Amino acid sequence: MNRIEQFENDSAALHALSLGISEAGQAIITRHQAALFAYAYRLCSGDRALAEDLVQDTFLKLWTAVPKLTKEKDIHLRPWLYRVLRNQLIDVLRKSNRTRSDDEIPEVEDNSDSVDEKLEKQGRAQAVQSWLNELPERQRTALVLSHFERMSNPEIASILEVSVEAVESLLARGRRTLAARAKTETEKAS
Amino acid sequence: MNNDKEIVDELFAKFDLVDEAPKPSSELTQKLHIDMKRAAAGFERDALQDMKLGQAQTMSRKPANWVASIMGIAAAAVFGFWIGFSDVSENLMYGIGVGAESLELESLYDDYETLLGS
Repeated sequence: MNRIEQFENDSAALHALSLGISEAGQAIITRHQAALFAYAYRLCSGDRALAEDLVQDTFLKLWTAVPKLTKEKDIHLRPWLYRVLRNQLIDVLRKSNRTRSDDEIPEVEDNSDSVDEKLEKQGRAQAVQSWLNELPERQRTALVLSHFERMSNPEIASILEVSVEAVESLLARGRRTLAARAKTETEKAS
Repeated sequence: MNNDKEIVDELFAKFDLVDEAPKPSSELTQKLHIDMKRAAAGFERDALQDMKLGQAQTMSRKPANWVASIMGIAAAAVFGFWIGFSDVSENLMYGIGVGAESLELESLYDDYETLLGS
């Protein structure tokens, strides 16, 4: 067992890091970096540079918060990281005025030319990804956490800082929009 | 509602969106490690400073503790001598005797008589 492997949980790793043991920090990075990046990448419409900036800033916030976090009884680092990353993304979107309120449910586009063009240009997978990106931010985040990160509704609720019922509602609305979109595209194709 | 969930699951699975998670670049990994090592060095410095501060406080407290102990022992000794060699003890016994007499406690009264006789 090397020194990184010995930090089997985040709590032990954070306490060790607070004493200056850098292997503990490496263990935390190794454990969370890839999933956090995939999450960021999907949330910010496949913008790789933005996703990497968000991940770096999230970890910077974590290093700053280590003394405070180690004082807490139960450290749930995974939801903490996802929550911080999402809040940062919201700030970025607000600044660039690219956000949309949850009340604005996007209409299912009925423009076959633009969809075909998009399908040709980006490929079908990217088209599906773009449907996801068109959802309001909270619905998209809930769907990404549920379908890609395989998180439970209570876990998603803690990241979005809403009730479990609200998560169920966000998931239902997001799925309904995506399912309607898929149905429309299938009908067009047949 | 469940039907929508299945459709979305199928949709993501069909295009390998779930399995093909995007990977972070090696540059990002490098940056994260540099930031973390910088933070760890800061934590180590802070921990060392805290330790030195703790030691310094313990050292500065030590002489004060010794002085307090010596003063306490000296005060107890002076008080003991004062009790032993002053009239206080005699007066105290007299007081007990008078009290015993008024309460008609014979044994204590006898002791008092004996004490005065001696």
